[in-house]
Amino acid sequence: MKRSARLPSRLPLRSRLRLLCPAVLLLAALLPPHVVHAQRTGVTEYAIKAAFVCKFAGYVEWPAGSFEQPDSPIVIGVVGEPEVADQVANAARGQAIDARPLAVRRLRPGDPVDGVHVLFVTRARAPQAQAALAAAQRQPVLTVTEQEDGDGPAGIVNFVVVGNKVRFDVAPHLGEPAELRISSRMLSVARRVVPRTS
Amino acid sequence: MKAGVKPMFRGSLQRKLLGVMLATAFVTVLVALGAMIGHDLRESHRGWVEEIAAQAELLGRTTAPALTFDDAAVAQENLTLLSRQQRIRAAAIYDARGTMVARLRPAAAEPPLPALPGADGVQVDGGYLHAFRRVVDQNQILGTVYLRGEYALYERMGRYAGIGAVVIAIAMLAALGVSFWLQRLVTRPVLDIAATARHVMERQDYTRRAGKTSDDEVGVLADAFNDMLSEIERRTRALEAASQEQERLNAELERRVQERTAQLEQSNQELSVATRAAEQASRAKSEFLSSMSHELRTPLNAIIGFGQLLASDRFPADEQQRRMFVDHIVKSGRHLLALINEVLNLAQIEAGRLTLSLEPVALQDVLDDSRAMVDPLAAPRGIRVLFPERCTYVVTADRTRLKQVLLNLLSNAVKYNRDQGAVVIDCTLPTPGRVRVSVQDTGRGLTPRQIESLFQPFNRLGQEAGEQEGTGVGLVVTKHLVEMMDGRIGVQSTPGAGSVFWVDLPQADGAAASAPLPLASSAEHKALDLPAASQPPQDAEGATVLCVEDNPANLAFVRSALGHRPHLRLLTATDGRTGVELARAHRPQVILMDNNMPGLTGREALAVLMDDPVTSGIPVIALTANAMPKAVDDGLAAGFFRYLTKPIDVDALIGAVDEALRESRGRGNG
Repeated sequence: MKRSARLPSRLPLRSRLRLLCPAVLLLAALLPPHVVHAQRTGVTEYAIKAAFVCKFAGYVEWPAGSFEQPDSPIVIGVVGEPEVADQVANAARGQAIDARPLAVRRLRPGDPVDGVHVLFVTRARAPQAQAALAAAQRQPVLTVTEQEDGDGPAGIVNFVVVGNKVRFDVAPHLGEPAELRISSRMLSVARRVVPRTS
Repeated sequence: MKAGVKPMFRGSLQRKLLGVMLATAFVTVLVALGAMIGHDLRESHRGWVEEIAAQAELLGRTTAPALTFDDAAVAQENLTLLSRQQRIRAAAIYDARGTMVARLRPAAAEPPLPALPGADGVQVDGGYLHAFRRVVDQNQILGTVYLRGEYALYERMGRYAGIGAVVIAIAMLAALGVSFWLQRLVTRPVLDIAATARHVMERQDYTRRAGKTSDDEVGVLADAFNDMLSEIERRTRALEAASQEQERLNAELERRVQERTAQLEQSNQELSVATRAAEQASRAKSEFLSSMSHELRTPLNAIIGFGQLLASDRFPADEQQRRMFVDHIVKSGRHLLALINEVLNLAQIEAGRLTLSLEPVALQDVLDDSRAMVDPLAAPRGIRVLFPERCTYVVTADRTRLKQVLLNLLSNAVKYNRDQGAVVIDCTLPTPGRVRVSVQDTGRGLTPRQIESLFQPFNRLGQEAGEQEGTGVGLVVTKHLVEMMDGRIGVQSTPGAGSVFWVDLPQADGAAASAPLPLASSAEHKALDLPAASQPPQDAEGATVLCVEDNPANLAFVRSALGHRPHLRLLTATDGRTGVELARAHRPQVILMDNNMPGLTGREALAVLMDDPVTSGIPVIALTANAMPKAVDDGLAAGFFRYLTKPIDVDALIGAVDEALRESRGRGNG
């Protein structure tokens, strides 16, 4: 509610980014470098999303048997541009969830999703990866998409940009068939928890 | 003061008890409350600290996703939920870089939120709890939460203080009530004892007893106190009794002291009386000596005077005159002898050396003896002496002395009678046990004043110038003798008509007691009387008489007295030893022996002579100045034939010699 009050207009992200660009650049020049990273710029949008993708793993509970070993890595599959995959790999580097390291694997839209625990499908690759996404929905895989409203089926987690901030909606019921549980703490920070449609 | 003792005493004990109770209650409540409050405050503090730490932790956990996904709005929303809690005064959330991403602003009066996060932990500062908490997730520091909570410890302490005050006040009230109750239980018996003690002290009333109300220590105290009181009471009584006894003894002592004092005074009076009597006696003795000197001089004057007339050639006197002179001399000499005898008697009596042998004496015998001696006196003057017809009374007396008494009275009655007068003797029994012998004369009588001095020595009652001779000692001796025989002597007189002298003597118990005449006395009389009979001298030829005498005058007298017997040869010796030798040599028929001589005394010489068979048969006649009756008796017992006392009566001497000659001759014949 407050968010909607604070963000009354729903202009296209790009046009808004563009409007903000000169000011943001100016501000970034004045501020120290780590502060610049926090700014939601077009350049850093995927960096933020990559970091979020890595952190989602901490709020997800996979069914038993999803991992061979207690220290088996959590495999993040990225279906998208190579730059995005690099971003995710960068974010995952050095990260560990409950003693499990993060492993990033770049996938093509037709690739099988076996052994993947988190599947990030970028907006650009979404149309080609419908089948893979659908297949992943049947498996205990946290699917992450960045679909705009009406663009097509979204994953369990769907990035949205609200104002100049990266937010996400969560549809926990999508993971229920595969016994994938989403922590309620993650739900508390979601922009919207998508209800069961039918 | 006594009025003040009571409340002070009572107040003290009660106040002390009350003080103890209240202090105990106060301290107990204070400690209990303090412990409880302290514990409570500590627990509160810990609880608050833990609570805020937990809240910070919870907030951190809640905020972790918001920080993870950089969602300030959610973070703010999380904080806003906290704003419902009253105790949380302010809160803030900082991201990993220290930037405050959400805040709950404090009230205007309160300090602002810290600009930068602090170290982890909870601090108390300025009445608030400040809690910082790192938000860590998957080993990554996501940020920090800050909470500021109320820290109401001091308020709570204030509240507790109020509650404590109220609780203490209630406890004090309760203690006060309990104390009053306890006082009834404990203090009152003690106070009762104290009241009793005070009563006893004030009134010295040891009969009071303290009441015993319980069997505890106070009861024991009451018992002990009562026992003590009993003991004190007992001792007090004993003390009082002892004090009374003491007083009684003191009174007794005082009384005895008074008695002794009175006795002492009496003794002093008696002493002064005795002193006066002694002085009087001394004076009397002086007077007596003076009188006696006079009395002795009077007859001596006659003797010496007439002697001088006889010896003088210038006063030629015819035979008749010379005979008159000699008569005067002899009469005066006899008077002197009587006087000396009387005085010696008196001296003996007064010295207490006179011994009497009291025995029953028939009055008739004594009267008969006296009659024989008085008649010769009375006859020349025509005085009739009338004795009672028969006097049967027997009295207890010394025979010789009784006769002396009666003779004295009778001779006086004759002596001081008128010529042709009468003397009447009577014996009566005026009171049972007392025999009275009275001698009545028809003389001139005595005035009362004369009677007063009647029994004084040398008082001749106006007879000094009279023709009747007297010693003036006779009545004194008589009175003494009568009194020594337990009798009384008295006189009644009518001047001009005559006097009655009487003697009372105790009646002897056995009236039948015989009174034999003592032979010695009879013999003596006979000896004395014999010369008067003037028996003719018998054959005296060839008789030798030895006279042992140291005094030449006495020797000359004996020679003169025996001179008219020419056939008697007289040998003389002047001491006892010579006398004994002469006696052995000449064997005289009679020895005349003086007693008091140089060398051998007469008694010793007699013993020597009697031991010697040659001389033991010679009769020895004592011629001695020792006229005491005892000496006479002793002498006769020692063996003297006769005992003649000086001055020697010529007739008596010649009679004794004649008798001795007869004895000697008879013995020689036999």
